[in-house]
Amino acid sequence: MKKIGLLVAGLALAGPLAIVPAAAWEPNGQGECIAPSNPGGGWDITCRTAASVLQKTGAFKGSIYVTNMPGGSGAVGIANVVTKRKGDTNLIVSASPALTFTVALQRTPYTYKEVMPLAQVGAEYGGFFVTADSKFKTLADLIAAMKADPKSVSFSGGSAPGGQDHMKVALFAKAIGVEPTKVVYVPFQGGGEALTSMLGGHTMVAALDISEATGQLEAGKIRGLAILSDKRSSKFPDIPTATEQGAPVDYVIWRGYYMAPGVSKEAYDWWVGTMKAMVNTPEWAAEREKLGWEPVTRFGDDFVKHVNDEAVRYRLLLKELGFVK
Amino acid sequence: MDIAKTTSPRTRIEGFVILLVAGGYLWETFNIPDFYQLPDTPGPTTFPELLGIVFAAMGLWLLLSPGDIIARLRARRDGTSPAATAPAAPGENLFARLGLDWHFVALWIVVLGYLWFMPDLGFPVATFILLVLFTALLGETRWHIVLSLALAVTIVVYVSFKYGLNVRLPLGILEFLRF
Amino acid sequence: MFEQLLNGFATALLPLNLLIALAGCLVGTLIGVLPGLGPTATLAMLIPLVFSMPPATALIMLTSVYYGSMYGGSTTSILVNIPGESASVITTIDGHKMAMQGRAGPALAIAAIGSFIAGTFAVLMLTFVGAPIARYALLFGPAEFFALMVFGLCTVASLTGTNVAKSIISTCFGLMVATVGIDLVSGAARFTFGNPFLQDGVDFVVVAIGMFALTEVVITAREVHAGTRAEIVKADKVWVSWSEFLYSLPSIIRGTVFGFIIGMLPGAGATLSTFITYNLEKRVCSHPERLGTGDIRGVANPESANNAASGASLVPLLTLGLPGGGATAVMLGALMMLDITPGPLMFEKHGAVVWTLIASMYVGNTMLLLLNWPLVNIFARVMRIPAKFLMPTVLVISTIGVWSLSYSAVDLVLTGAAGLLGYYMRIHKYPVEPLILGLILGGRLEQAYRQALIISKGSNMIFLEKPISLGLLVCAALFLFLPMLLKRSKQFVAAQESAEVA
Repeated sequence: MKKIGLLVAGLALAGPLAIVPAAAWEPNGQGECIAPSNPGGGWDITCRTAASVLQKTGAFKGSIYVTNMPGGSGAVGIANVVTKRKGDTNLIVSASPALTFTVALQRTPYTYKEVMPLAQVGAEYGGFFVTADSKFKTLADLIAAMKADPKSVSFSGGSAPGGQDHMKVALFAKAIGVEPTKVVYVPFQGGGEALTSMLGGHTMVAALDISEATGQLEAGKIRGLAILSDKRSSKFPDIPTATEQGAPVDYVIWRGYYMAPGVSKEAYDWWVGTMKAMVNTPEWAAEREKLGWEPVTRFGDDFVKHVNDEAVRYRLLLKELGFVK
Repeated sequence: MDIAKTTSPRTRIEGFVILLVAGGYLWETFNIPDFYQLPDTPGPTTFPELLGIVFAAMGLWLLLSPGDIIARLRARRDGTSPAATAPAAPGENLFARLGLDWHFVALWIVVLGYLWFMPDLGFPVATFILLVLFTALLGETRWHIVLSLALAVTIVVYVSFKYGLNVRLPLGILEFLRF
Repeated sequence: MFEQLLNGFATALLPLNLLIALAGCLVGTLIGVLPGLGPTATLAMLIPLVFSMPPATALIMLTSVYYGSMYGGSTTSILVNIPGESASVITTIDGHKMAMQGRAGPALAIAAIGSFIAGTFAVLMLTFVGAPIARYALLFGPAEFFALMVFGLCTVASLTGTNVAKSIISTCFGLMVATVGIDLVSGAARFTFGNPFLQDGVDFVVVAIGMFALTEVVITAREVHAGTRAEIVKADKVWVSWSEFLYSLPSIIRGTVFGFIIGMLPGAGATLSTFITYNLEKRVCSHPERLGTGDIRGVANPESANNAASGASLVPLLTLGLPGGGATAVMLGALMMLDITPGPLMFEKHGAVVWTLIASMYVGNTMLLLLNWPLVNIFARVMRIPAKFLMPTVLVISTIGVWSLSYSAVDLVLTGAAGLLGYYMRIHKYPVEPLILGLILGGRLEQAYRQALIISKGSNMIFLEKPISLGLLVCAALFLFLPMLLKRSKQFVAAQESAEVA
């Protein structure tokens, strides 16, 4: 019913505007970005940044407001969108690999196939960090210690085992030939607590995203041992990558959005075009710089394929680690 | 001095219910998936199992009420007969014996019904009905006041939360008004 | 430093910023007063406004809203017996009794005064000794946290009457509810029955609204229907008297100091601090039997503790860049959006803004006190609204509070269940506070225990090897068993009896 109504509305709108075919569809009314996290969380910031840039640049005519829908690492958000918001053309939802893990662990009955992945607007690198006076001077020291006795090194991270931060440790262990299940990984509630525990000397190495470590890195309180990506971070080019130091781990944390299922092609294309235009604006560049994101983007079908591949890849990895049967 | 109160069958029913809850809780711990964990460290089931056992023990304690029995025995030894619970007056129905009456039941039906039906019925309609019924149950009989107050509160609350604080409230069956 | 602070004041005292602070306090109080909407929810709702403001103004806005909503939370505790946030649960014990006795005004006033003293103390500490003492937060690893949580749980002993069985059952049930959701340490879903809405566990607001709001509404309705509702004594004065102030001053000071110390630790700081200081209060103050019967110190103490704690949670955030509990995470997010990376260099890189923030905390505290002079009067009048009009509205707004958590029907159903259970517990004298404490501490207690054991590779000795954790565990044991040794003391018996009556 609603779909037909939208179609009719679309046709009615398209009629008088037929002279300008590119502007066949325009959102009208209020826009919304659902952040499946608490205010201040990563997804919340992803939403608020886009909302602010889209409004500032006039790309979105109305106002965009952010709704926080925390729960189950994105499971609550995706369930709500799939069941209640079908065909809502004014809605985008922020996402990241944390959602991929929720999908891969089957914590939600839905996958990226039930929604419409829209765009990746940036990426963040993760890394390993130690206190400035740590006995691990380089990644080589850490690798040597772990190869000698995996239990002699304790990692802290801001996610449960099988989540985003633990996977950094697991992938690293795999890359250097240490059994991932033997690594001492202490999970904390969020990167901030993981960092605190490492600073207090309760754990030795913290597996964090760069943005979480920025403040302490700049102050020289902690040292980056490695960036888990094929490229160095543009903000901290002094920290070598793990690959350079003989542990090939490529683990990029993208930031992006998906839309509700059943959105018309025109609306979806409009959003893809808008997102493409947005990431090239100076306003976006400034925000991106602030957040320490890398300008790695993917749009439309390219992004759909990426997230679906990623879900399959992580599922295999989790199976290997014994998280899914 | 407290014997009359504590020997009431209610305590035993409470104990029984607690035992049931603890049993269900312990049963559900078997469904906790067995994820990887470091050897020698407590897993996800350790703490719940401990809690379930403590809870069950407390239920058992209430069910058997050994404290009561000791007190009774002591009372018998002292020669004073323990006060028995007053039996419910004959003729009263089950409702009354449980301390229930229509007002109590109606109150809870209204409150729980509101929580249950609000998401589907929509905030404005459900809230209006709730306010009318609840105000009436609280003894306001002037219908013009009940209705106008319910309408006013519904509108003020809806508008201020929706537009002032950006809380999404479901329109439910009034959804057609959106377009 | 003084110069920077003075510069901060110069900015904070600009007419526009003063106006913003006033508006923030007012809006924060008004939203915080609504049952179910605590400081975190209030801040979240107002974050969009931050975007359109310069950083200093935005931060002033946020801090004043934060202070306002913290205070608003205690207002609902006192007036309608519904804690606005977990840190105000203790306030309901004496606060609401005072309101029923016609002393809503003094209760609200002492909460405001206590909050002002505690808040100012916290900011003073932040200003002068912030960085050095913040390092103390780093001493707390999982083992120390576990000991602290155990210590916190032991306070249940002093909260309740003589019926130990009932409080153990209540605590245990709270801990059981806390196990619902995805277990952080293993990643396993527990007691969720495959429902994504249960994966994050049961929120405090759900239980609090059920057990306090629904229960209160229904009980009031019953009393009105049966005609047994106690007549609320007509208020004779709205402000607190000098002698009442002097009477509660020691409690305020104790609350402030302990609140600050505990609040600086990340996690459940503010809530834990209210439980622990109230417990201490019962042990050390004169006439402990009065606590729990509508004693003004029972409001002054927890309210100062939670305000000192929330002020203290900003100390590690601003000096070390480490987030504390609940609302500081929201502040952290706001800071990042304002292009201020929290970290040890914050004072160097964004000195002007941070000092303005600190200055605005002094201003916000003072503003709140001044604002409450007239507000106490208005709020105290809420008690005069006939229950038949007040209670249905409370019910509606509480429901919105639950609904706005994550727009989930499951939360509403759980609220209903908590309401039924809460009603039964109230009628049959099962204490509710231990359940709340169990619910709040349960998750962290278990996490900390297992984190510590992962670090120690399975050895329980870690709790005894670390001096802080050993000390806390010894204190916990003393708290638990000392009353048994003191049982013959007359004063103690009196206190127990009064608690039982309450």
